[in-house]
Amino acid sequence: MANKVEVKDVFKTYKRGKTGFHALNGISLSIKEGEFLAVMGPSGSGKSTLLHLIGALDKPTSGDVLIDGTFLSSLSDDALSQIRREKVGFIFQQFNLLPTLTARENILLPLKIAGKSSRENEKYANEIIEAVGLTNFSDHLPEEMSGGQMQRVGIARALAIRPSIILADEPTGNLDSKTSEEILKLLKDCQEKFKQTIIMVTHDAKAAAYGDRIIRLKDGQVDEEVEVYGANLISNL
Amino acid sequence: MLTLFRTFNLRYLAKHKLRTATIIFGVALGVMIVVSIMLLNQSILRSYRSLVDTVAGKATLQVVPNTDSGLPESIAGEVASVKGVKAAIPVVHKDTFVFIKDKQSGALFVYGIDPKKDVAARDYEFAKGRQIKPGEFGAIVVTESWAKEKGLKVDNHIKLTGVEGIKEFRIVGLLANKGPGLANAGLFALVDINTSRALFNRGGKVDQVDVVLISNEKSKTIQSHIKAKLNGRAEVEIPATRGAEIQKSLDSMAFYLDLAAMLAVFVGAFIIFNNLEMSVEERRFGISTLRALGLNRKKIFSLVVTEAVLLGIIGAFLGVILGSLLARAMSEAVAGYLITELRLKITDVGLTTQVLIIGLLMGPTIAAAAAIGPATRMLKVAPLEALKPFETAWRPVGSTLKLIASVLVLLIGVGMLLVLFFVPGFTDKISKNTPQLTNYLLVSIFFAFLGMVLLMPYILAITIKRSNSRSFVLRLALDNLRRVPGRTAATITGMMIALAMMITIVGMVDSWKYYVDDVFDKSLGWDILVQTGFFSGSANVPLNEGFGKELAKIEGVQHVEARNFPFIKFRGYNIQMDIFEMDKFFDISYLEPKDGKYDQMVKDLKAGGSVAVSAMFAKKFGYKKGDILKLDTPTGKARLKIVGVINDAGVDNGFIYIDRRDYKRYWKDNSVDAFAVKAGKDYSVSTVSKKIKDRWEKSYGIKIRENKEFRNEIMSMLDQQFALTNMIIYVAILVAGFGIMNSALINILQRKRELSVIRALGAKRRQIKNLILSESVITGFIGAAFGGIIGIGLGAIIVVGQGMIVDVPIKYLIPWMAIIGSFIIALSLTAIGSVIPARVALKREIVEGISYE
Repeated sequence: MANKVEVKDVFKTYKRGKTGFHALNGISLSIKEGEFLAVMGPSGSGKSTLLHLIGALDKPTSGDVLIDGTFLSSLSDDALSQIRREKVGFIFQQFNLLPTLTARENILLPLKIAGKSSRENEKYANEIIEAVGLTNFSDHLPEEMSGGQMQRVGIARALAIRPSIILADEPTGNLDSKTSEEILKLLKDCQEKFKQTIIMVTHDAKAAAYGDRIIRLKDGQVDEEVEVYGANLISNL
Repeated sequence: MLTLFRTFNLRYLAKHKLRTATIIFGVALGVMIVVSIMLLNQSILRSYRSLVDTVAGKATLQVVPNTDSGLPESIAGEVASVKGVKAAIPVVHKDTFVFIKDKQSGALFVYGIDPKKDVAARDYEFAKGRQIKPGEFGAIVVTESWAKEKGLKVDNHIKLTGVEGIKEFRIVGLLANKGPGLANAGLFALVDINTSRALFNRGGKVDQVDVVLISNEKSKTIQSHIKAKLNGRAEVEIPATRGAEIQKSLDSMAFYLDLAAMLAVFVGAFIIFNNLEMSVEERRFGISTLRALGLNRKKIFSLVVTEAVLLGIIGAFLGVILGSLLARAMSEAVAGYLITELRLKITDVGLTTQVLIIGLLMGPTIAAAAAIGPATRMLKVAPLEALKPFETAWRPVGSTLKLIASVLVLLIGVGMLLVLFFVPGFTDKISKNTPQLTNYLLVSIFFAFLGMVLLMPYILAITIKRSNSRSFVLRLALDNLRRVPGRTAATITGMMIALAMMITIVGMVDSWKYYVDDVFDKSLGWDILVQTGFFSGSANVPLNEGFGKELAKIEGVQHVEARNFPFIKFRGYNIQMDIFEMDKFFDISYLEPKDGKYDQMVKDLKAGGSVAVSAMFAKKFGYKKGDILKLDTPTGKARLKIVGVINDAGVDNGFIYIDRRDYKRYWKDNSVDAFAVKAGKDYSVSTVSKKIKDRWEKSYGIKIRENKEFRNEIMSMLDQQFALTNMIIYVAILVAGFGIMNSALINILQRKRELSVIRALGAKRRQIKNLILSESVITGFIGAAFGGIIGIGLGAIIVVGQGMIVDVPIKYLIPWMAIIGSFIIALSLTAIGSVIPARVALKREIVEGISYE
C-alpha cells in the first residue's frame, strides 16, 4: 500500500526564553494509507508536535512532511489551509468546539468554511451524527453536553469533510474509561468503514492497542516501533 | 497585600504595556478635555479681570455708560463733586484698526487720557521715550511688547482708523512691561483725550470716568452715593467685580463645551472599562487560582480597583499636562471669537491649583467607577473555574432589577428634556436663568445617555438574533457580538455617543442657519453694507453722518441708511439694540411681527417714541406688545412703547429695535456703525460697491460687504461658535473608533483558541480577516444607527425646545448629510481599526492557540 504520510528527517525547535527546546530531533517515519497509527511517549517527547506538523498546523524547523507525495514546505499558506480543509480531520483532547454553535453547527462548520454546505454533504453530516450517537443532542450547545458527547461532536466534525487522514490528539484524555472505549471503537469503525488513515497520540496503552502500529517517541525521535497483532503485545511497550 | 499587588498587578501591567497605556490614555482623555475647558474658561475671566484691574490702576470705582454711546463730558465733574471722591479721571477709549506702512496690522485698544489728571489713577513706566503731552495731537504711546512684535521704535509712524478716515501718529514712547504696559496683552496705546474724541466722534463725551477715593472711604458707600447722583444715567462699578459680566457672555459657549466634555468623559470611561475588562478577563485563570489558594472576594475586588485607581492617577497627571496644552491650543482657536464678541485677548492660560486638584481627583474616580463592573464580575469567579475545558456560550445580559433601573435612568433623562421643553410654566421659569438652564440640560442629557448606555446590552440582546446565515463568517461575527453583551454595548455606545453628538450639533447648526437665512431673506433689503469693521465687532470704528451724504452722491446709489448696533445693559444682561432710520428702513427691509400686524407696527415705529423687541427679549424679560419699556440712558430714563414683537432670534438675549431719532435724543450719539446701501435698478451691485471702495477704502479703511458676503460671514460665525465643540467631537469619534479596534483586540485575545480552531479546520487567512472585519463593521454600523436615531431625537428636542424658549418658529432639519457621513466615518474607522486585530490574530501560530494552558 502507498505511503499516505511521510515524515523526513524533521527537526522542530521552540524558543523558550533565551534557550531553545528541541521538540523533534530528526524524526523520520512513513504511514500507509488506511493505517491506524498510535503514537505514544512521555510528556515532552514530541508527540503533539509531530501531529501538528503532519496536520499542516505548524512548520518544521528543518526536514519535510509529505502528504500524498506533496511536500508541505513547498505550499503557500492558502494551500496549507486547503490541505487542512480537505484532507485532514482533527480531533482534540480539549474538544475545541465553538461555544456559540450547536453540536450540529459545530459538525457542519468545516463544510461551511470550505464552502461545501450542499444538501448532499448535509445529508452525510446527518449520517455521521447518527453514527456517533448524537441524534438527540444535535441542537445542544457544548456547555449543555457531557465530555463524551463533546468528543463525539469533535469526531463527527473531523469526519464531516470526509478527510483521508484523521489526526487525534489524546482524544480520550478527558474521558472516563467507558466513554473512552466507545470513542476508540468509533475511530476504529471510521478506519474500517471509510478507509481513513488515523494517527492518534495517546498516553494510554489500551487506547494505543486499537492501532495497527504503535510508535514510541523519546526525546523527539522514534524510540520503539511495534506492529499490533493482539492485545498481548501491548505489555511489551 | 502589597506583595500580591506587586506580583499580580504590577507585573501584569508592565508586561502588557499597550493595554496599560490605553487605560491611562482613556483616563487622560476625559481629564484632558475637562481640564482644558476649565482652564480656558478661567483664563478668559482672569484675562478680563486683569485687563480691567491693570487699566483701572488706583481707581476703585469706574463710571461707565450702559451702551457704547459714551457719557457727557460733564459727568466727570458731577462725579468729582461727590463727597469722598479724590479724583474723577475721564477716559475716551476705543478699539481701532492699525496700519503699519499702509498695511492693516490688527487692532489696538486706544486709551485717550488727560496726562495731567491721569497720574492720579495710573503709574506709567516707560521703557523708551516719554508720555504724551496734554493736547498733543498726532502723538501716541504704545507698549514695548507690541512695538517689538511689530518691529517699531520711538519716532516711527503708524496709522489708526478714525471717524474721519485714517490718521497718522508718531510713536513718542514705549510703555514698559508692567502695570498699564501689560494691559490687553500689550495691544494697548495712549493718545491725548481730545485726540481720541476727534478720532472716534466723541466730541464732548467720555467713555469712562475712573474714580479715586480719599483714603479710608468705603468704595461701596461712595458707589451708592455716585449712583444716587447719576440716577441711572450711567453704571457705577467696582472694577474687580466686572468678571461677572463676561461670565454671562461665556455661558452660552460653555454649554456646548461642557456637553463635549461630558461626551469625552463618557468615551474615555468606555475605553477604561473595555481595557480593564480585558485585563481582568485575561487574568481570570490567575484570579480563580488565587481564589483556590484562599484569597477572599473582598481582596480580589480591592486588587482590581486599586489597579484602576493607580492607572487613574497616572492618567490624571497626563491628562492635566495635556489639558494645559490643549487649553493653549483652544485659546488660539477661539481668539478671533473672543476679540470680536468679548473684546478680549487671553493673556494667561496657566494651570490653577483648583483645576489641578479637580483633574487629579477626576482621573482615579473615573477609573475606579469603570473598574466596578469588571471587578464585580471577577467576584463571581469560582476557584479553579478557569480550568474548565470549554467557554460559556452566552453571558447573561443582566438582572431584571438592572433592566428596571436602566429604563428609569433613561426615562429620567428623556423626561427632564420633555418637561423642559413642553411644560410651559417650567420652561418660562428656567429659560430666564442661563446657567440654571444649561446645567439642567446637561444633567438631563447625561441621564438620557447613561440610560442608553445601561440599556444597550438589553437592546442588543433583542436586536442581534442568532443568525441562520449560510456565511459562517457572518454567523460567528454576530454570535460573538451577542455573547458578551456588556462589552459589545460599551463599544457600540462609545461610537454611538460620539456620532450622536456630531449629528445633534450639525442638526442644530443647520436648522439655525436655515432659519437665519430665511429671516435674512425677508429682512435684509440692502445690497451693500459700508463700515470700518465687521457688524458689531469691537474694532468697528464708527463713521459720521456726513459720510452717508457723500455715499448718496455716488452714481448708482439709490438708498443710504445709517444703522447702529450698540449693546445696552439691561437688568444685568447685554442686549443688542438695532438702531434704524425707521422712515427709510422699511423701504428696503422687513421685520416680521408675531401678531402679523405689520402695517400698524411700521406706522408706530416711524412715528418714534416706540420700540419693537425680539420675541426672545419679550419672553425673557416678560414684555408684550403695548407695554412700556424703560431704558437707562445717559440723559435719564427713556420710556418707549413696545409696538411690535418680532420673530428674530440672532443673539442669546434678544434685540431691541429703536428709531435713530430716539437713539440720538436719549443717547446723544450721532455716530454711525454702518451704512446700508441699495443700488438703483439699472446699476449692478458690484459696480456700485467698487465705486465706493475705490473712493474711500484707502483714506477711511472702510470695508464693503455685499449682501451675500455678509450672510456668509454670519453663517461662518455660527460655525465658528461650534468650532471647539466640533474639534472635541471629532477627537471623540476617533477615540471611539480606537475603542472599537481595542474591543476587537479584546475579542481576539479572548478567542485565541476559537480562532485557531477555525484555522485548524481549514479557514483561510482572508476568512479570518473577514470575520474580524465583520465584527468591527457591524459594531460601527450599530453605533452609527443608534447614533443617528439619538442624534436626530436630541437635535430635534433641543431645536424645537430652543424655538419655544426664544419663541421663534424654527423647524428642525434632519442633517441627512451628517447621518450619511457618520455611517461612512463609523464604517471606515471600524474597517481600518480591524486591520491591527486581524494581524494580531493571524500572527499567532495555530498550535499556540489550540494548545492548552
